[in-house]
Amino acid sequence: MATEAALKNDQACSAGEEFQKLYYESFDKKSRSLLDKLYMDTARMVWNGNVLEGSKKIIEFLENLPVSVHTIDLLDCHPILESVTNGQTSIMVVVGGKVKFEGNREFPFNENFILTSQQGKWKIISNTFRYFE
Amino acid sequence: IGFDLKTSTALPQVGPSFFPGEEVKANILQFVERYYAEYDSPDRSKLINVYHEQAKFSLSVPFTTGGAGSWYRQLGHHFSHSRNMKKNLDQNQKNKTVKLLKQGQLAVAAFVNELPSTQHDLNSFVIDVSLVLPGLVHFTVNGVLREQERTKTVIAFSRTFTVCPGPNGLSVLNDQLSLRQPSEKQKKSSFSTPAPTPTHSPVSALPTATLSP
Repeated sequence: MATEAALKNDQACSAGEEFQKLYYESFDKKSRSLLDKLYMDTARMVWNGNVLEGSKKIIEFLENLPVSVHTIDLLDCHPILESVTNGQTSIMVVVGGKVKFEGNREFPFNENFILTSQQGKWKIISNTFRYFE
Repeated sequence: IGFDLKTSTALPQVGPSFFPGEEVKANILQFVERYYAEYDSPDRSKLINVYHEQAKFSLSVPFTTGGAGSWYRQLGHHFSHSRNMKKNLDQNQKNKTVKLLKQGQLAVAAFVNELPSTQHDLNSFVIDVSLVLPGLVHFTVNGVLREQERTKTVIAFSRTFTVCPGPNGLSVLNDQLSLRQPSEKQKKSSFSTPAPTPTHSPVSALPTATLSP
């Protein structure tokens, strides 16, 4: 029998894997406006020190970034203890890799997300992106 | 006559550390200063006190093919602990990787204590606090470090913490450490101010000025 901790751990890993694929595919290949559905209305993003409050502003900001190609080479996920999130199931997803924005050189970056379950769907509540510079 | 579909290639400027408010900033800076003073000291055993009884820790190194000339060969001693899931793993390997998450205060503290001794360049730190809830703060520290036994190798790191209020100040719930090849800029600017001999004098004061906007 798997313990509850192991199950939570598995859940975080599967969700993180799927999320990472969805997120960067939409970002690079499909449409960044699709990402709107992944952010909570009240989400916050800190993009290289630029602070965006709310999904509307986040998507607007992301849509204005040049065409991109992300190469992901690192993914790590943790469950977050539910007693500190009012019983809300939440996970932390850490992603690393390189990103090439059109007209710019390639940058190594780290990005992390807190996802929290909202009516049976994972939603981003917080998102930080930084170049390794 | 053409079509106006050309998009701009300009990127937003890179800004400094972000703290949502002065109080959070003071608390997090104090935590980071104390944490890394202990972490860079010869003995990390006191760090057990900052970890929550249900703390979680993992370390990840980028997945590379690790060819002969790969910079990552220098991080070879970390490969077996790397929890990186961005590999083409079969289910068996995956199960193993999942288990590399250290869970519980003792397991985390013991593992952290066994990691190679380090020296962090506090001047390189960029801190982003992205989430503050009544019982939880989530933030990331980016910067560079050196390991004592390989002092010529500058390593870029990104460390993500989730903390909650605890009996001795902030208590760490989640701690994720990613190591990476530093950028040219990081290599050049790292450890540029002469640092104290780390094994003898743990960092006592974090230069707040370099961390504030």
